[in-house]
Amino acid sequence: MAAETGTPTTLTLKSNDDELFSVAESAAILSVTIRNMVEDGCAGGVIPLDNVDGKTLASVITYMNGISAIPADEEKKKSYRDKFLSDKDFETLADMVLAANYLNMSCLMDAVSAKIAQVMEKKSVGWVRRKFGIENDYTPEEEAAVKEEHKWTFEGVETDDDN
Amino acid sequence: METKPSISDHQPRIIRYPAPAETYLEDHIEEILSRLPVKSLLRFRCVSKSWRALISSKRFIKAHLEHSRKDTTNFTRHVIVSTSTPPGGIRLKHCSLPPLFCGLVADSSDVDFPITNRVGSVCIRGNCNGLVCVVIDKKHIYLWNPSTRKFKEMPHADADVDSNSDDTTKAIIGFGFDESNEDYKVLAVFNVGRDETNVKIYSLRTNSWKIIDVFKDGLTLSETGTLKGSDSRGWDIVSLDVGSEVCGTVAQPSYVESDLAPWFGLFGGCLCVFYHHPKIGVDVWVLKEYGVTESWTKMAGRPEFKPLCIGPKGEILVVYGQGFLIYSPKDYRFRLIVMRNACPFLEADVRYESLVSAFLLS
Repeated sequence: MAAETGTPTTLTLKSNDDELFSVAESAAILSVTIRNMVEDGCAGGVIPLDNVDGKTLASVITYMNGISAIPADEEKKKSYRDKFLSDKDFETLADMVLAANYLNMSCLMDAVSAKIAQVMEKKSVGWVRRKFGIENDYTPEEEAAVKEEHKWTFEGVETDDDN
Repeated sequence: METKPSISDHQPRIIRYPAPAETYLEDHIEEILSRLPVKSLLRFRCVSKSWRALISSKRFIKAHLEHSRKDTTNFTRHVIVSTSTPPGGIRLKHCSLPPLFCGLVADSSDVDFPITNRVGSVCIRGNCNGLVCVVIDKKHIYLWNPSTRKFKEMPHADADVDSNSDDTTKAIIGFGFDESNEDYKVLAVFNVGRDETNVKIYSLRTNSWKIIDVFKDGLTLSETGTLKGSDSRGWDIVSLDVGSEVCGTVAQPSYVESDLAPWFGLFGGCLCVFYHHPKIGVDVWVLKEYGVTESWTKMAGRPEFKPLCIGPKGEILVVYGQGFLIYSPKDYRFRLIVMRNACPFLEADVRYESLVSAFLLS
């Protein structure tokens, strides 16, 4: 365990593509995974995060710094999260779900899941298949039958622009 | 790969870390989908067979319901109102909640109520877990999920009740979910004469009515989980546990007594009671946690305000006459809201979306 000193402790995190990041311990321990490592005294050197790439980790660290700077005010934290996620594309959000899961950050996980749901809301079935990498295992007849059951849910669907 | 310890040289404390096994977006699909509106979910049944199986599964329906219930953004909540449309018909309209809280004018749209051959009258008699209990033409009772557009007509309640009570308008209808038996139940109290009532309860699971031996007086009722009523003698609040079908009383807040009978409402799924003091005003008490007397909370109220639900920033949607207003308890300000094409309305209710079906049980 790092000695208790007056100066804030900094941790070094390493992404799976070997990028190094410095982050204040107080912000990094929003991740339960990192907090456990710190509590177990494993944070002396570099903390390797094998499942997070540099681009995503940079984003997560921005979030950690941003949210930990906000005092205990759930409304403000929520509006920070909304703003933080507002300009992220689907691929980035997908990477962040995996990172939030690996780092065990439930608030981020909730917010990103909700954001992905919001992005998906009016999308077509084809868009969802492409973005989630899902193979259509229906025969054309089966698919038509499933569609027929709730035909009205296909009204007002956005045309695919793949964004 | 960085120095990853092999199993053999793991120290015990390291077991606390999550296994760095690769996870895929697929592993989080349930987490994401349970936050989607019902319309999108029904469409995404077409994505693949496994998505259809997931979206139809009991576990997922429950998880989705939990999200809808707790959702503080009101993303999947709707106001549903009945309006009278000349000549003589009554129509249901709905409007999603966020626009009501955000602006001054919100558009309403016709509810695609599937029973089109009978439109004489439509009464909303409570909602629970996304299912709405509606009474058509005063005697046909339906359990209806407006989000999935599926509905089920219940057998007639009055078949073996006294002949003078065959009109459901004379009955007080309450609708609730019986958690212990995972069943939906409808309570009908028929006033068959002075000081005489017939009480019947319908179970969705058995799809039948039965007479129960409770409440011998005239009652007024409202909904959710346990049904609550008002006993006309001495202003007791009486309740019926829809699980055990046993009645009881609800301890009241320390309200100031009045000669007038209190009346009831639901506010954000909680029982609320209005104690009216002529020329002084009305005290509105909300039972925040059912069964916990200490959780009675007094709200600022006015006799003509009927609180309906709470918004994301603590504002309260209030029924005012035949329209709505948004009341902010922080600064006591209120503003009128116009729900276009739906004012004036006869009755209003707030429901949230769910995939719950009136067919799953029976």
